[in-house]
Amino acid sequence: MTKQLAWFHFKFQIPVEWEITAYSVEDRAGRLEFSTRKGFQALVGWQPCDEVPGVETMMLSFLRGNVSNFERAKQVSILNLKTHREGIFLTSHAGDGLPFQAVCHLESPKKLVHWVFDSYDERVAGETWTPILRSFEPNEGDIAQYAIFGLNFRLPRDYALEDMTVLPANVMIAFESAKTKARATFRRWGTPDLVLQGRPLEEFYPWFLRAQGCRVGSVQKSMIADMEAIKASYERRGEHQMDRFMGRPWKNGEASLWHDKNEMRIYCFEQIAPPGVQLLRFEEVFAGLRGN
Amino acid sequence: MKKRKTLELGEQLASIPMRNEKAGAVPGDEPGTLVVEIELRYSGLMSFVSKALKLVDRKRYILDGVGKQVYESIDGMKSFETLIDDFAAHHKLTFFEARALLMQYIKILMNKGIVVIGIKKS
Repeated sequence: MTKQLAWFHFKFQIPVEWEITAYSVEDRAGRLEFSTRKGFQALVGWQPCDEVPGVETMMLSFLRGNVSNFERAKQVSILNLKTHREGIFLTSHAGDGLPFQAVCHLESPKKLVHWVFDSYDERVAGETWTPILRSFEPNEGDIAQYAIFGLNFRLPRDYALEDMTVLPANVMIAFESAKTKARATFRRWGTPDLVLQGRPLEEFYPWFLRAQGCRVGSVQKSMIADMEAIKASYERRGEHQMDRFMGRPWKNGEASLWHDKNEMRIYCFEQIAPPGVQLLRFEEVFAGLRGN
Repeated sequence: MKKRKTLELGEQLASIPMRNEKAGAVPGDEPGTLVVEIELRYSGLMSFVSKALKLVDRKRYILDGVGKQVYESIDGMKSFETLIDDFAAHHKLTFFEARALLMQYIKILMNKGIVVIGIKKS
């Protein structure tokens, strides 16, 4: 079974048991590391790259720089490397048991996407990395899709990642529009019994907003995709320039909070922006969910 | 001070949490709670002082909710990995989410002397 990973400039289908255990999250360059209970499985990284790099040279540098405890790696020369294509990726390995790479150059965003897998073994390629590499889809255009840490949403490309906090069963990802300075925040909580502590959503969420320094306006019960939900309006101190300096509030905050009892998760989508800025529609951001 | 060895993931998962045998657990006055009583042991000079001054020799902790659930799931036979899987299934969490949360709770119970961890020698 697989699940979707969508981030910045790429989309993949990865094994459902793979979890992100380390991350650095900058559009320019970064990486995500995946592990299971058996340990490290792979990482995917991205970095700026104007032209297609020499894969063999990259692979040799990688082996010598990162697997120096492998005696064989020191003896590997460019003649020992084997390369072949999986979809748009070019893989390069130096034999069984050694970590190996797969790289592809994305022309449009001028990015190099590379995967590093734990250990090469031809016998399991078809079950492990081959399907991952072949599942690649570009994440291009005016709308970017994000599928990570159990969240799945779309945002205009100009919304840049501002902040991300990943705690056990508690994820927060915040974006800000470069054009309008609007902020969009996504939250996902597990263990809803502990989060709510017996409170209904319409009592919990205003308390939560006030704890974030917001002033709560209206709170209405609602339904989202047949799930118990609430919609709230709020205001908070402006976050930019004179609004921040003068303490002028942004008053157009909108939030949707819904409780998926099957999954035992609570989701939240918050937006706030300078006065006069149009906020995104819920249906644009969450294509698969319908709110009432 | 001797640096404590960090366990590899495999070793950690194979370890077995065990209840302190000297700790007694009884249902608390409030429904859904458990009262765990630990014997306090004073060492050296404090041993004499505690007897002379009749200092408190027991400490009680009230466990409820997830803390109670974690304590009751520890039977001295299930490995940490099995406890994680059970915890994850109960709360519909991923493996690493359950591991992180369970570790926090077990750490608290260990600090209070209610639970200890047995590590298999490799």
